[in-house]
Amino acid sequence: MAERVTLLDSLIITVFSMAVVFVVLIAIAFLIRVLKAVSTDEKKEETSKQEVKVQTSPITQEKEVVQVEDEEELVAVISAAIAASLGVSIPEINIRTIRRLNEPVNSWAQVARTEQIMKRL
Amino acid sequence: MLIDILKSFTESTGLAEITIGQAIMILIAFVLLYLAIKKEFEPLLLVPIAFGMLLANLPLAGLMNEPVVEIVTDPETGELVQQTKEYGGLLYYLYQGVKLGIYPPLIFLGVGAMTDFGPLIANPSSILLGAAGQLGIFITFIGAVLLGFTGPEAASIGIIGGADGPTALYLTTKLAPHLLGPIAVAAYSYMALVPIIQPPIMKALTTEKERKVMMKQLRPVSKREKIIFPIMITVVVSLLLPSAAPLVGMLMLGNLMRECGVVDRLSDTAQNALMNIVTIFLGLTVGATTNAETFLTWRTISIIALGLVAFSIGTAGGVLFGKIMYKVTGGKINPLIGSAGVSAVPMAARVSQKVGQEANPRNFLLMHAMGPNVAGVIGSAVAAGLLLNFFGG
Repeated sequence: MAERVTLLDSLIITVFSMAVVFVVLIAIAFLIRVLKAVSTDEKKEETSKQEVKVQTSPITQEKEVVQVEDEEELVAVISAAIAASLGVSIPEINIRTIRRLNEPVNSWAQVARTEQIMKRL
Repeated sequence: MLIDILKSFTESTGLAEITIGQAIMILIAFVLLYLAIKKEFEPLLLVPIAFGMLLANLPLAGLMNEPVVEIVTDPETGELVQQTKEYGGLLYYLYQGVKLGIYPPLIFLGVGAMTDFGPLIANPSSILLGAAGQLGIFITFIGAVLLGFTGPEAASIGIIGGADGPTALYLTTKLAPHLLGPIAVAAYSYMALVPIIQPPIMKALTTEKERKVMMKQLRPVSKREKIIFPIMITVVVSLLLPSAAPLVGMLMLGNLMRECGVVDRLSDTAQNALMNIVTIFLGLTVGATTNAETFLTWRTISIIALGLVAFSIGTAGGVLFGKIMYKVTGGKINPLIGSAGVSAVPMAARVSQKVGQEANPRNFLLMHAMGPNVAGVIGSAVAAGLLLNFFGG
């Protein structure tokens, strides 16, 4: 192509190139889907095997015990955290209820992530 | 006698030879060093670039001098042979890695080893945003043509909008090596300024409701997919567009070394030691191409202005396409991740995250934005390959 290009040439190049960029990337997207289909077939088998294992293992009782302990500990930790953030000692505060919010993202993890990101921006 | 000695000494120093242009370039180098060290503007690149600029503009040092070669008749065989009369400067030899297109693909090797394509594999439709983010390249190309740049020059200026340093350098050395200095400076400065350039455009083009959209968590990607992906991309892209093969091939080799898990040593070298070495050489010699005669012209100013246009349009293209996807998917996609389609990994994705979180503190877009972000790298490499097809050789 000549050194100087006209406006029309550049428009043609633009339209053509954007079309090719899209076609190439759509082709890649399509191939990724194929890839997923190929590899998820195997995954399904794996997960079904795992499910069988879970059913046969008698861990359910232990789990409940762990949860109860966790909750007491959690109450202690939360009271301590509230006391610390208010700058008073634990006997001075009266916690009536602690309600678990159904959040899609854990707020502690959220805060940690935000801090990480803000540090880098 | 003493006066003669003093006179000949002062004539041999650089001070006697310095031109106004060189003095201005040295001052610009000082400013860039200040920005890099004090303000921490992309210091890893700007320190070598600014120092290269300084070295190349010191008179008589001759660090960028080309070797002088003469052709003589060999007295014994009578054949014409080349003989080096005078060797070139240090930076001239290091610059060959830029000129011959060696350093940018090596940087891509390291980038590949550092990139996780998982978010892209998990959500393949986000790759479209990586394509839309390339709009800035071509719109700027048209703009540069209108301003009177030649085709290859306009293509090299447009590629600044790819927001991808190595790709921009690679294409420019192939198409318009005389513009390398200004284009490198523009590309890397705007990449450092992404957190300032993008948010106003993103906010202007989206509604509050769109910015608040929370996206579904990405599915986990199997190791097998991650290993097959780089091999597949290399084959597909190189077959469709052979001119993009050096960049895409190296990017994917680096990624394969990362994901396959059996060559961790190589992956580590590619993303650390090798990457750092090449960055030093690349920065230093790119800086050294900015001599006063080619840099201090109105063209440099228009290139820097066009670069900003390129970045802005790329961002807008991505966000607007994001809005289309928001409509098509019935509100499942947050248009803010579109701006990450311009590449500038991972800065642009972090900007999407930040703007998204301003609208909705519970929102976590980073991983979703990484999909278009890494797709943007592939997209700009494809765009560079196309422009090379049109204007190269």
